[in-house]
Amino acid sequence: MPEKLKKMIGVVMLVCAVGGVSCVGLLGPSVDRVMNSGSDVKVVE
Amino acid sequence: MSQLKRGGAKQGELKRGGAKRYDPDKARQLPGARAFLLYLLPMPMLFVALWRMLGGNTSSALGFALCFALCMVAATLVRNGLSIEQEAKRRKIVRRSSTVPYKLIGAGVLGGAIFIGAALGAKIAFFSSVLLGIAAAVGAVFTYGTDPSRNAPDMPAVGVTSEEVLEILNEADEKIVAIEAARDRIHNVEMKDRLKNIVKGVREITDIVEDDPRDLRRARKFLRTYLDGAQRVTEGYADTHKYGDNGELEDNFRNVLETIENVIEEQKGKLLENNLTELDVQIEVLQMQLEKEGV
Repeated sequence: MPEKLKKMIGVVMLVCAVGGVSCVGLLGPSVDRVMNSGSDVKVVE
Repeated sequence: MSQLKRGGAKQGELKRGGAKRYDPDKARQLPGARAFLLYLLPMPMLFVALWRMLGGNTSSALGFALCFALCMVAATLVRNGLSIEQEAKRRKIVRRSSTVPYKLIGAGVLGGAIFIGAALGAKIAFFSSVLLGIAAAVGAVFTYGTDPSRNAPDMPAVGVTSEEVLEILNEADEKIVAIEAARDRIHNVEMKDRLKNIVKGVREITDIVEDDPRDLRRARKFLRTYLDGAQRVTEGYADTHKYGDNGELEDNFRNVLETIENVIEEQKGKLLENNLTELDVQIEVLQMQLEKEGV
């Protein structure tokens, strides 16, 4: 694998892994709120 | 045979006069600049940890805080590894402390940090957290590469350690930088030219020692004592010179510089002569070996 491509893949992996955890940390409560908001909806037949 | 090649290369380098310019600032900046990403990326985790702490989610806050701290440790380890790698590239001698694989350890610590941050902080499922940790570690290895060879050349036959050689060469580089800085403050063209020649000569001597550390035994006194004296005299002259020209002072300084130039030439001559003698001996040994084996 060419060295430059390897470095690019490495940077993308780093950004996704480290940034991903940070993003989930930041957006986690909002995501939970959105997910939980649907639990109160009752389907009436 | 490798000795023969090394001797040949040395003389070739001297003919070209390809003395490298040492730039300590550049040498210090590059590793930091390259590991910048590892310091920058985990920064949001600190705010997330504080935010979670204020929100009363202590376990998640601790997970993110621990993750952030470990990421900083990993970044420092990788930076250290990069620094050693850069020095190994700049010098032909590798520091023995590079036997510690800093970059690899840093990548491992980063992987662990991301796993902790994902599992404890972000409450991501165990398997996904493991995958994120592995991705971070592999990403760090891909981005920053692996450590230089663990088998750093030790020099038991030479009688000096690689640490000692590097220490003396670094000291010499610092003295050269100091002499060049003092030279910039001197306005006398003749003195500037003489100092330029001296610096060039000293760089050639450090190159010879770097190529073959056995020469350190002969060049040590010069690199420590004479170069130290040259630095002090040049700085002293540059400081005094700014208050006005003084004929006697200039004559004395000129004499000192002439002496230093002569010493440098003698030193270079001795080092080259020694190499030529070694070359002669090696050729004789080779001839005897060839005759003995009937080639």
